Amino acid sequence: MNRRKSSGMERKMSRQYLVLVLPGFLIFTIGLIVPLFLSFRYSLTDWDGMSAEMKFVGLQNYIKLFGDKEFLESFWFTVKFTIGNTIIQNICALLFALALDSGIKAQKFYRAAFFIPCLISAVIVGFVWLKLYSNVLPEINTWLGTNINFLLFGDADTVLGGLLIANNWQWIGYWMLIYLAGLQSVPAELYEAARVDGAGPIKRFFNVTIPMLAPAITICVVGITTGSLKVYDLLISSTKGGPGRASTSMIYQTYTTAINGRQYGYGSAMTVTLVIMLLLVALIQVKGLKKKEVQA
Amino acid sequence: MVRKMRKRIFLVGMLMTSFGITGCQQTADAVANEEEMIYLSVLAGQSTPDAGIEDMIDEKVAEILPNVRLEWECVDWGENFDAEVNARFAAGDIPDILIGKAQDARHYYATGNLAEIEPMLLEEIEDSAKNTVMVDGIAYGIPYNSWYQGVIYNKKIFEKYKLDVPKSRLELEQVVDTLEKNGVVPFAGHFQENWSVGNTTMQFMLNNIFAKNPLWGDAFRDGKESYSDNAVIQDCMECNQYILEHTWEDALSVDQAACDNRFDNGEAAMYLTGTWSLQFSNQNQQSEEYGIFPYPNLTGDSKLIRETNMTFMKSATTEYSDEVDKIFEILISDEELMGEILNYTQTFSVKKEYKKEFESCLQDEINIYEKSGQIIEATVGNTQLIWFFQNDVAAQELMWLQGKKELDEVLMYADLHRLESIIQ
Repeated sequence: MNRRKSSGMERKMSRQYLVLVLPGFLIFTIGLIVPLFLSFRYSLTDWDGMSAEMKFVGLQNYIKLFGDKEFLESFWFTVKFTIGNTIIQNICALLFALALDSGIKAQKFYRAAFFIPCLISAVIVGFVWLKLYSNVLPEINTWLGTNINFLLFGDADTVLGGLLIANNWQWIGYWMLIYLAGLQSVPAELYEAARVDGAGPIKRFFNVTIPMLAPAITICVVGITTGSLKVYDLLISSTKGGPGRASTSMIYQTYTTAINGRQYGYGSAMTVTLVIMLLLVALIQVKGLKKKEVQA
Repeated sequence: MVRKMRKRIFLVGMLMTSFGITGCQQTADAVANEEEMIYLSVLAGQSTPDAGIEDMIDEKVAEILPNVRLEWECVDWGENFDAEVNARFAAGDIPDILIGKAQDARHYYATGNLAEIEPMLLEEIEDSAKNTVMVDGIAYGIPYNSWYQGVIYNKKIFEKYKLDVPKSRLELEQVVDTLEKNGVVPFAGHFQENWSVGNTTMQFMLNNIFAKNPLWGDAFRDGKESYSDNAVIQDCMECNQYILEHTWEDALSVDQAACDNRFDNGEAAMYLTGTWSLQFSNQNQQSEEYGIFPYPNLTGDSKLIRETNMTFMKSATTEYSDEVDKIFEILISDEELMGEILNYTQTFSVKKEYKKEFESCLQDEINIYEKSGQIIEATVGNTQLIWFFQNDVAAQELMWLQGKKELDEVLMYADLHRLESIIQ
C-alpha cells in the first residue's frame, strides 16, 4: 500500500518536474538546438541566404575555411583577445576581491564602482572608449605638453591592447564579485588552523584560499573564455574590425561573410566551427578545473 | 424622508450614469483615434551626416498628416543597411518606406519588392538624378539630395601661397611641394576606417577607370579585366599612399571626426573627401572659405563626383500606398523642410529650380563644373562594384598602407573575390 502510494507520488513529482522544465526546454530547443542543426545543414550548401536555390556542396565549405587566410587571421585575433582577457581579468578580479575582502574602508562604494561598468551595454562601452582614445585622452597631451600615443584603436599594433583595456574595464567588476562571494564563503577555521600550523599569508593564500576558490575560478575562467571567444558587440561600435582587419574576430568575420557578403552557407560553416571550438574549450576547462576543486 | 432618499439616489444614479457614458465615450473616441492612426515603417540606411533628419521629417509629417506616424529604424548604410534589407525581404517583412542611396533602387528592384514611383512625383527632379534610379524607363526611387566628392581646399592657404587649382598630377605635386616647403601639411587624411579608403579608392577609380569604361565591373567579373594586371588600378591605390605620405604623421590612427575638425582648424590645405566633411564646419559656424576640385587623374580630364545620396523607395506590398505617396510629396514640395535637411547634412538639392535656403561655400565652383559637364555620377562605379566589395578590398588596402601586406596581395585578393563584387 505504501509502495503504491510512493510511486504515485513519484509520478506526480515527475509530472511536476516535466511541466516546470517544459517551457525552458521548448525555448532552448526552438531558439538554440534547431537553429544549430539548421546551421549545420546550411553549412553543407552554397546558399546565399536569399535565393530559393541551395546546392549541396558537402564539406567543401569546411575545407575552404581552413585555407581561408581571412578566417585564420580572425581566429588568431580571437585567440589572442581571449588569452589576454582570461589572464588579465582573472588576476585583476581576484586581486580586487582580495583587497575588498581585507576589510578596507568604503568597501561597498568600491564594490559598486567596479561593478557599474558591466551594467553598460558593450556597444556603449566600445563607443565610450573610442571617444576616449580619439578625443578625450589626446587632450591630456595638449594640457601636459606630452606626446603619449592614446590613439590605440588606430594602429594595428595597438588595437588589441586598446580593446583589452576597454573589455577588462567593463568586466573585471563582475568577476570580482564572484571571487568576493567565494572568498567570503571560505570558513575562517581553515585560516585559523593554517595559522596555528605556522603558515604565513602567502602560504595561506596558495594553500587555503586558492584551493577553496577553485569552483569560483572554474566559473570565471570558463565564463571569460567563452565570452571573449564570442566578442562582437564591442568591436561593432569601436573598431569595426579594423584598422584594416586587425581586430576582426571570428564572429565579426562570420557576420560579414554570411550577411554582408551573402555567403550564408560558408558563414554557417564558420558558426558551426566556432560552436565546436567553444564546446571543446569549455569542456577541457571544466574537466581540468573541476579536478582541482576541493570541498570545505 | 423616504422621498428625499429616493431623490438623492436618483440624482446620484443619474450623475454616475452620465459620468459613465462620458467616460465610455472618451475611451471610445480614443480607441477610434487610435484605430485611425496609420503607422508607416521606415528603414533608413544613413550615412553619418544623415542621422537626425528623421526628427525633421517627423515634425513636418505630424503637422501635415496628423493621422500618420513614421516608425523609424535607422541603421548605418555602409555596415548594416544591405544586410537589414535582405533579411526583411527574406522574411517578407518589407518596410513601407526604405531610404538608401540611388544605387540601392537599382539593386533592389530586381527582387520585386520595390514599387514603381508615380511619374508625377519625379517631375521636379533633375534628369541626371532621376536617371540613377531608372530601370527600363521606370523609376524605383525618389532621389532627394546629393553631395559632391573631390578635393576640398582651403582658399586662404591657396591664396597665401599663390597656388592655383591643380588639373594634372604634375600640378598637384607642385602644389604639395610648395605647401611642404612652407611648413603646411598638404592633405588632411584619415585612415583609421576602412570605409574612407574604400571611398577615396572609388573616387580615383571613377575618374581613371569607370569614366573611360562604365562597364568595367562586368568585364572584371567575366575575367576580361583584373586588378592584378591593371596598372591604372595600381595607380589608384598608390594615390592613397601619396596622400598618406603627405598628411599628418598619425593619419593611420585618425578618424573622420578628428580629421574634419583639424581641417576646419586650418591644419591642412587640402582634403580628399565629400561635402559631408563640411558638416562640422557648418555646425561650428566657422568662417573658413573652401573650394573644391576633382583629384587629378592620369589623363588630366578628371571630373567632380556627384553622388545622389538619400533616395526614398516604396514597398511594393505596402497597404498604405497613398499615404506613402503623400509623404513623398511633402518631402519634394516642402522647401522649408528641404532647406533644413540640406543645410543640416551639407548636401545639395536635386530638385529643379529649388529656391536655396542656404548657399554652400562650394556652390560657385560646383556650378562651374556642372555647367561645363565636368561631373560624373558615383553610381557609375557603385553599381558596377557593390559597396561590400569596395569596403572589403579597402580593408586589405589599408593593411598595405600600414605596411602589413604587399600591394600585389591586395590586388590578388580583389581578383580572387571578383564574384562578390556584384549582387548575383
